[in-house]
Amino acid sequence: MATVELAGLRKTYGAATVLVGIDLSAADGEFVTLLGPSGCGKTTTLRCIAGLEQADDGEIRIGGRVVASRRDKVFLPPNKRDIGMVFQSYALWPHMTVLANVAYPLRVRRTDRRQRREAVMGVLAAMGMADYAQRPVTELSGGQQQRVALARAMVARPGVLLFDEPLSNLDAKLRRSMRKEIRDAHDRSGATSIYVTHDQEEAITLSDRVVVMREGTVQQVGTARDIYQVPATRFVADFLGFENLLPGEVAERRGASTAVSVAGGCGPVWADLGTAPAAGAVIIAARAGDLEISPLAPGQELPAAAVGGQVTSCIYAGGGLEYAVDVAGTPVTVRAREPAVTGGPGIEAGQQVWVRFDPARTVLINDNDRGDSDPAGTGRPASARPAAGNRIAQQPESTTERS
Amino acid sequence: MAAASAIPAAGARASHRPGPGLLVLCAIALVLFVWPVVMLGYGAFRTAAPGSRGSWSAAGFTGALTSGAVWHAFANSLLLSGSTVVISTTLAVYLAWTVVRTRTPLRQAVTPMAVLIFAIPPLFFTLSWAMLGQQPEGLIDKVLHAVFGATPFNVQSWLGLIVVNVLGATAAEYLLLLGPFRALDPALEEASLVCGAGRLRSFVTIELPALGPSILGVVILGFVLGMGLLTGPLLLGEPAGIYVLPTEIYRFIDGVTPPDYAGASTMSLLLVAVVLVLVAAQSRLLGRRNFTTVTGKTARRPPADLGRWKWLGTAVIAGYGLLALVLPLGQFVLGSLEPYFGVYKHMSLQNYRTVLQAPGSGQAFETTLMVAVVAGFAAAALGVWVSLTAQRSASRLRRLPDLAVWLLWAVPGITLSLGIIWAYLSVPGLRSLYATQWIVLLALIVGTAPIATRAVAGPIGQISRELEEAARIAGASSLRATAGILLRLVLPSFVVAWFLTGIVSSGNLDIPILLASPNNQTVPLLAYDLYNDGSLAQAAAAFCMLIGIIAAAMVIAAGLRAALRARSG
Repeated sequence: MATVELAGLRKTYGAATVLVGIDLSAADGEFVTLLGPSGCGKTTTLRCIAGLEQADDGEIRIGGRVVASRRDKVFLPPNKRDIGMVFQSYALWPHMTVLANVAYPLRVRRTDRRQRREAVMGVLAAMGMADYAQRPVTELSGGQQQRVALARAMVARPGVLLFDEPLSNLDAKLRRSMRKEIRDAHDRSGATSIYVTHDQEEAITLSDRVVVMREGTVQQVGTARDIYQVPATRFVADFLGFENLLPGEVAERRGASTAVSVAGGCGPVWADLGTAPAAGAVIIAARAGDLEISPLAPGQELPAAAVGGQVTSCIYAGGGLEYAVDVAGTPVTVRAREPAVTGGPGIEAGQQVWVRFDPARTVLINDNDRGDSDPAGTGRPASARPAAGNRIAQQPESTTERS
Repeated sequence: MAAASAIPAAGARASHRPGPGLLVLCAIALVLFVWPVVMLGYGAFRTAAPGSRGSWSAAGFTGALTSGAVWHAFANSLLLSGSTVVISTTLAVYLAWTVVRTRTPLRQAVTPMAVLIFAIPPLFFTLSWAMLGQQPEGLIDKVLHAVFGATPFNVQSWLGLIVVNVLGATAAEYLLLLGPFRALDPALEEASLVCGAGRLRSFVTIELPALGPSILGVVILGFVLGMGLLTGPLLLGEPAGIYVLPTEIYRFIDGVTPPDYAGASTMSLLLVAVVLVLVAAQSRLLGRRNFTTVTGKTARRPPADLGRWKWLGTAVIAGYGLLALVLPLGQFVLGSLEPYFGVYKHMSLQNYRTVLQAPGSGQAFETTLMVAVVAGFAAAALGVWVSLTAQRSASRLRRLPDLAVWLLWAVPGITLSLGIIWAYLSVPGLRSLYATQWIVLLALIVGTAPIATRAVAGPIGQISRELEEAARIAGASSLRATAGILLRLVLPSFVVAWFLTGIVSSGNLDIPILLASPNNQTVPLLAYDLYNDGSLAQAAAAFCMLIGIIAAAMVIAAGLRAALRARSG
């Protein structure tokens, strides 16, 4: 059993607070990714799990056993935690061969020579590096070094595997193939993996669950699909590539759908996803590719659940066109296939258009930047922390209760 | 194959015809650096002293090589150098690791201490420890007598020699190892920890081997320099009957009648040969391997907490500071204030007055100052010229001056002096330079050129070519781009090299001891003479004044550097 549990992890470096109460739990055999921009604390969290850094407060358990707790004065050093780690710079020892590097964890555990050799050659063969066993590691390419680093992390069959942005030094094509190898290796080993990255594509394709972090807090935890389709906070939506984040007011609720008026009275726009208050300020999040756009003839009535506006620019965006539409002062980005492909009418800059939101793909997000917006959807607020993030224009305070 | 007129790709080094500047530099390098070494070979086979008429003969050569005394001295040199370098490297590695990787108290003091110890001339340590250990007047003797009633410690012995050498060598080796230790990727140790190894095992099996090439380089350098040391063995070894090659070389010239120049030259060649063999062995063993990589991210790596073991580190640091700085400085200052050395009453500044008023003292200080400033400037300028050429020129000859300077590492102080004597006295026109301050100046320039080159080579290498290229594109001529941009950027390291070589020159004994004459001494020579005459207190006074000047110079240097930095933003 190699579960990983973090409770209330805090860490400060001098005056800066790097981790503000992190809670996390990874089930046995799960692949969990910590996703976020630079400086969000994801690497610090990983290093605390590894034991390479000590948190100022909070508790870390691996396999149910407390490995670090400042309050109880427990700290298990990294060499006693039964983990494997893949570093961003690979950290292969330059004076040793591939074989010596990979065999090192077994040597330390005093495995006998025959078993050691079997295990090492086995894991190297799985990585396709068996022929390189006697090479000095300084002669390997980046991708090869990464594979050796992976082999070394896995050879002693640790219960937990930690990955610190292992693919960021590789080119895009190599990254894609290595991603698959990492996931395959994880599946074969049965270990619990904690993976750190700032690349959302990596996170989405690799993980069972994703933890989005920002400035030392957890913004949202969920499956890749949940995170991608239903971001819980403005930050997560923005980070995951939602081009449109429109402030609005709740106008009506009908079953699972909510109508929201945006851009100072336009719409309403209907949204089925996300959580929102019964009334008051809210954010509508929609991807540019999920919106529908069409010319609006003068005098024509707006279709239902659409907003009208004027196209300010239209650029070719590889496989389609990207329109910037001005909806009563609010910019909206729409991406659509080229008219030549769709057979529809051409749209140019300066034209009046209507834009329709698909309720099944439009997300409601609580209009506050604080972390107390219940990101995990468990009904409990996450760690509270005032954020200095971007404030949207203040909406008048509503006195009705929240759901 | 591409057409002959194809333009070489950006950054490619085509073999251009060497320009006039490069040819001049090569000529200077050959004359200044290579010719004295060649003349050592010439001198080994002559019968007469340099400058006198003589004939060819192998008698001096074979006589020296078959002499039991010479081989005994050679063995002593190996033994002394070897034991010194083993101890000092261990200590230096420990200090570097303590400073870079741990939270030991007092570790912030190590680098300033090492810089100070490095700046102080080796003669200082030798002289002060000679006084400290003097029986019965030295400080150590007095203290040990008071406590134990007897002193087992005689500084004029193998132990004393090794201790004095180790003190100075450790500081230099520490400073050289600091860079590689800092540059080592911390992830290497972390990977080892995560694999299950403890800190000690990680250090021994991972970090030390990764640093191996750097450590080995420092060891060999230390051994090479140790073989050529003169001052320690001269002051502490000879009275105890311990002879090493450099002291034998000196003895063959100054201590026997008639002087055996051929024998001295032969021994010098022996020394040079040994060093060259060592250096060749090193480059064979290591090839181009350098395992220290500079990390892209400056990882915030918390230093190791050693628990109770950190106090051992503090004790070592404090002990080193005590033995290398506090005791010697204390002994010097005290000794200079005593009426006679060993009499700890009636302290006054009388000795300072005596030294300053003595005939020849004023001239000694003047000469030392002049030599330090001028030799430092010239050596630093040469170093910049040679490094620039080696790194920027497109001709195949560009490495020649650099190699010539490199050769000089193999030619320690006294052998260089001998080589210069042969080189300049054998040429009729240059003979008049002998026994003037100019030959001392020249020898010091040549002798400190390797240090100067090494000091500026790194910073020059870090200046991107693009900075000059941008100037060229903006319309500046080649000369203007070089002078205006490149030299301005090199200026801070030039200043550092200037002061470094100035300081080393001012404290050097090996060169003036053969090349200076009584009416153009330098302060180290003055101090040595006073010591030999038994006027220890005055020797201390003379040296204290020199150190005061060096300290003032260091303060000025630091101020200048800070001002330069502030101006360039």
